[in-house]
Amino acid sequence: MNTLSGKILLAAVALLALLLGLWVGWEKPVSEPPLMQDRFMTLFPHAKPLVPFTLERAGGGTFTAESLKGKIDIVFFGYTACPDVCPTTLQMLSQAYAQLRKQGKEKDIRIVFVSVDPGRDRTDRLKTYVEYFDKDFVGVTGDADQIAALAKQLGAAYEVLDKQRNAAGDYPVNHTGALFVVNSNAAYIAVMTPPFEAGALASRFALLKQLEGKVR
Amino acid sequence: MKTIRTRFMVLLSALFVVSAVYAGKPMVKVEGGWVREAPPGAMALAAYGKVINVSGKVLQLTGVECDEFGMGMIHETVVKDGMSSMHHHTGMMLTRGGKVEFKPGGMHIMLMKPKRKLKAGDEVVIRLQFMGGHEQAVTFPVEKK
Repeated sequence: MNTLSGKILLAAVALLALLLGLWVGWEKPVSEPPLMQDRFMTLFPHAKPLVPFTLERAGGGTFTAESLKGKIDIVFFGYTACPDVCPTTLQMLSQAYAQLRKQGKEKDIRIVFVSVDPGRDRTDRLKTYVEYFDKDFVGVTGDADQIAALAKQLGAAYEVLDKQRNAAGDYPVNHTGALFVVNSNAAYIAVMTPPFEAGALASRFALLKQLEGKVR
Repeated sequence: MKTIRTRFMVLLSALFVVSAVYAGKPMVKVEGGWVREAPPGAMALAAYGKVINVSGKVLQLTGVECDEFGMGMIHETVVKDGMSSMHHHTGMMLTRGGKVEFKPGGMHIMLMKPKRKLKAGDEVVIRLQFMGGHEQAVTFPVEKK
């Protein structure tokens, strides 16, 4: 009897261990790989190819989805009359880019500044403004529909409040402070949200390059 | 008569000295102040730094002025639903010993319509204005950072 009880107990313990093992080891079938998220960069499970758009490149020419190919693009939306967020972010990008340059890796990355304020920035000023931060930085803008055609694909929010023009002709522009990452096949793969820090940005840029081709 | 006049003059002089000392007494101390070097074509810049109330009384910072710029305002970058916008502050209470930190992406002294291109190494004098008509001039270095 004792032996029988012992066997039952042993079987019960074994069954419990099996159930526990199954419970611990069980993984639900994953239909979507999880988002890779860190302090400020969210890498999407699937790259989203951009549909064609056409913007104007500061200094001449057009800037299209094809222009985004060949490098990892870091796209930032803003305007040159912005006193705080835009120069702060561009200065941070400039420092991060300089760090990559020291390592000879700056050619992997392209920084694109999209002005959402063509009323004031559809001039040569946009080119000199972005190149002040780094000669390699690219400035683009266009009319409202052209800007929206790219911004909507990236989920970039902005509003140009030109109806709130003051006596001096100035008006506020609200815009996202996020950085949008487009891979070298012109597909949207990640977003970065502020606050940023130059060293952390440079390390994410290097990581994005390493991941290139591994995220689809 | 002469004595009275002398006494009056002494009293007037004393009052003048007292008021001069009061006027010269700093109301705030600014730590780590700087103005961002202007990118070409920039129509607005921001000044940053920690403003500490050393006046021994409650202060209300109501505005800013700078001879180098057409207009100055106290602004805050407010992020709501991921979108940055500007909020104009017309009065900022500084308790005794209290401080307000102006820093990139947050509170900042917005300087609009620059009268000349400011470069790193330049200095600008910003007049901080307080309720009651008091103001204090503070020198901010221009930096590229």
